[in-house]
Amino acid sequence: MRAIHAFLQRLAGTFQKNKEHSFAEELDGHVQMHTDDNIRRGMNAEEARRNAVMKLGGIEQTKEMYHDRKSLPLLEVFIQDVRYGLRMLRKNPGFTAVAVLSLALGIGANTTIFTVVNATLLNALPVRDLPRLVQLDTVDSKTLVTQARAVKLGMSYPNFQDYRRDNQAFTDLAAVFPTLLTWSGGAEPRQVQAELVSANYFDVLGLRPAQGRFFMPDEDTKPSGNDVAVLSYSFWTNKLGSDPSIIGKQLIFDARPYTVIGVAPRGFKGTLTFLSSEQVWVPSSMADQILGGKEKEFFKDRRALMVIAFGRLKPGIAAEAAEASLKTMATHLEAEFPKDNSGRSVALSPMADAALGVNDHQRFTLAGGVMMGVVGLVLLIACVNLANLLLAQGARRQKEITLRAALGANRGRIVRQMMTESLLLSLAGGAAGLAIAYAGRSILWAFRPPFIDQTGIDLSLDSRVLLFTLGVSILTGIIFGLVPAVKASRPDLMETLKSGGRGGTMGWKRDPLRSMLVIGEMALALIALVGAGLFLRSMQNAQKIDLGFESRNLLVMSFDLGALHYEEGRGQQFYRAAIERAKNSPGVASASVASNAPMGGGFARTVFPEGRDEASGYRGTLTTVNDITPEYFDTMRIPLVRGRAFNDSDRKETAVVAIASEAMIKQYWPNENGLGKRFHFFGDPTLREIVGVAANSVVGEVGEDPQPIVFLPMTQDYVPAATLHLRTTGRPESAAGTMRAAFQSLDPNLAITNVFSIEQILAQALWAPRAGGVLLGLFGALALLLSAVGVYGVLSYSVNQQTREIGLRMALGAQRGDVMRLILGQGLRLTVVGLGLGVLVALATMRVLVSLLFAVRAYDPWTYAAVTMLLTSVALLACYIPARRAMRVDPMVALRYD
Amino acid sequence: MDVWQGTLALMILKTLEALGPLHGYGIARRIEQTSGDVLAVNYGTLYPALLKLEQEGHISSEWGQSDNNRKAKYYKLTRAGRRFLGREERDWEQTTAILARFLAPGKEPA
Repeated sequence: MRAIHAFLQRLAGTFQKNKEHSFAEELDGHVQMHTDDNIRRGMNAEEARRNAVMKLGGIEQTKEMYHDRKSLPLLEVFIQDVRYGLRMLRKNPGFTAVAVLSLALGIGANTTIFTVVNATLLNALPVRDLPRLVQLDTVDSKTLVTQARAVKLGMSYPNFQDYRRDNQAFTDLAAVFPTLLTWSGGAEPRQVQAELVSANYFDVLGLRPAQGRFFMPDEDTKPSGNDVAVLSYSFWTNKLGSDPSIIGKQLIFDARPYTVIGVAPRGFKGTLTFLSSEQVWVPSSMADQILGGKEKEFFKDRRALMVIAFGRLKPGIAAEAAEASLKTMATHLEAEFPKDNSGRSVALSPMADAALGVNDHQRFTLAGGVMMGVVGLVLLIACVNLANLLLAQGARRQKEITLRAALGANRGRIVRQMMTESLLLSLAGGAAGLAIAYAGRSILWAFRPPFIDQTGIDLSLDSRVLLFTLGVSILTGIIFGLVPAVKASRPDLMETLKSGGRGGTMGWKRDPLRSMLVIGEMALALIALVGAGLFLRSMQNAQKIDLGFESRNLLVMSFDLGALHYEEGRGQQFYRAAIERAKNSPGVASASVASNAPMGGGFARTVFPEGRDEASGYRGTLTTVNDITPEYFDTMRIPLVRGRAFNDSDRKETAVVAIASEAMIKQYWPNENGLGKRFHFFGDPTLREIVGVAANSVVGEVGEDPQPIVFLPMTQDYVPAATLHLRTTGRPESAAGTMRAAFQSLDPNLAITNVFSIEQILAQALWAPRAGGVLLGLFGALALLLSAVGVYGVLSYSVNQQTREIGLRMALGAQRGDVMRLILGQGLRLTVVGLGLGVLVALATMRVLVSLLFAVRAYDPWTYAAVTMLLTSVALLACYIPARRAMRVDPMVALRYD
Repeated sequence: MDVWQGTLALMILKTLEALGPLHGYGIARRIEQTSGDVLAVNYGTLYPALLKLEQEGHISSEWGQSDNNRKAKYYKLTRAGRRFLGREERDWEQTTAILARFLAPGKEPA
């Protein structure tokens, strides 16, 4: 207590001056009184006073001791250093500006990227005790999967129920089924993101409602009265105006009234990062009412992997142990249900990873890492520039420092003072960088992938980001200020005072440290630019990939007849009517309806060719199924390689037919033409005959291997949720309005969603290489600029230092051209070494990027060559100016002038 | 140095308790006298000690006039200072008692 009080007094004392004056008076009085006493004892006046002062221990010394106690000496010294540093920086505005700007760019770029990384990767899910939550996925050792990354596949609802009932490792398990509901409350019907969840969903996540309550355990199981809903906070605020009396009100979803029982806490939007923040949760017992078509049919099927399951580990149980116990349970389930569960087991993933997509999160993490790596390189280059600048400054101030050292300043003090300067620079750079990051976020946001649009990912500069920036700034100042400071504080006294610091040997031997820094800069710039170049090439390649269909003048619109409870007959009629209206609209050349939107993946089933089935142990392949109307191949301009398209004679009563993609034929009947072959789906004995073979087209991802696809006639395999495809003669967007009106007239209650032109869909599919290319190109350019500045600075300084030698050489007969060559040679030597080093490091590290690139090898020679040439020419340019200056040295002036 | 500062602080407080409000010079003389001129202390070291005690709130200061009409700052004990002094006195007595027993082992405790 006392200590704190005393400390505060001393803190105040650091900034006050008046106490000194008062103490001087007190000391004066003390000496007077002592002198008086001495005189009384018989000394003469002079002796008396001298004795008094001696007894005191000296007036100045006492004043100093007092001063040290009155204030906080450390703080005082620090303030002194700061003041001095500021003065020094003000005296060299050019130097200060360049240093602060470079740092601002480097730190700003880092903060910007970190903001995004923080928002998506680090701040995953606002639930209780996230590390104890894991997602359960099925892994299937018997079914072949053609998409490389589809390893973890969700879970079937009946299996989930069994795991939940019998497991020992979890406090509880919950299940989620994301779907879309049509909400008819606003101005027009719209689709909202919804999730069918087990009643314990919120409890497992450990959340408390912001309003109302969450589900009761029996709302999942009892036969009726389960039409209740929980709203997300964003939904409640954005769409319902934060209605304070929302609890108990009814909202219409899919033409059915649901009672709102609660609102989820602010900031929670389910367990998937990339879904919209406006969501509705309903109990899974409503599945029959909400789902339609195949989803409804397969929801309770033990084989169909419909739901996402997750759970909270019991305290003290590790994830590995839990996984092992679940795998044991899986073998029991396999034995109990050999047909459905054959070859299936369970794998766990941390919920934080699964939030980004259980098979995709590694790519996101990698992408985030690459970004941070590149901006880290940019910052490093800026820091190297800073170090170089500080070294140059230190050299320039040699005389001043030497003088201070000669007068008795100890080395530590000098180092500390210089480090204060570099800290000031880096903190200023950090503050400016923060401002850049603030602006940069908006730019970065413009590059976001379209599917992030309404997810409400929060890119605020929260405390973690600010702390990051502060930390980076301070570390920069300390690390990159230390070496120059130490070097400057240890001058070669005799040398400096004699020759004014400008003599010595020529070339880079005199200053190995600065030369090494430039070499390092060049290497770093090369690495950054090679990374950028690879991504730009990848972007180019991605745009050129053949998608298998004509990717211009195509418009799609999605809708869900199941939301309005159309039964099949009415649905088929609706499709025909919609296609008719579309064909008659101006600007529409062709129209069709399909279950799958372009590049949107789709429902997949395991395919067995005729003669094989699940019992024989044959590994069927998970194949995407697309239900289409006959006009489909025409609309999409996908060529039919063999056989025929569907037509009106393919109906429910006629032979069951299918069209297969070339990849599928190749897979099951290699070297045969495929027509007439038959196959069946898992669990469905119906044999379907292939009547046509279509050219390969993209299913889910640009650049994927050719995928097997089964096309079925919509008349034989009806689904209620589908997408209308329009081949337009002009711009796709212009047909949208007419079509919307057409839908309105067909059924005003139908919500139309995902109205996209194919360009927009491609933008979404290609966002990664595009954004990556642009951003990395930007950062690469930044790296280039900064290293050019660095090279220029070092060489310029070097020329200054070598003025005398140059003058000497010229006086001895060297031509201007020789001098220019000499200087250029010095610069080029550094550049070449730096680039060589960079190439070696790049070759070693670029491999990491391969999974993010399209058809570009990590050793792509064109990229390396182009970057090397670019850097060399820029470096040459940067060397040219100082070289010209060297050329112009007047030997008379140089030799005379010290 | 720290131990010395501690005892110096105590001596100052004790002096003020005994003599009432006093200026720095007077305290210095009194300490020298009381310790039997064994501690030939630099009077200057008193002032930082006085400042510390004032910062910690054990003493307070006030300008006044000395006997020969010299301007001088007078220090006096605060209530907190009095309490602190009492505690420290007890601690010191305990310490010296324990030490005494250690340094004269043969003797029976009284």
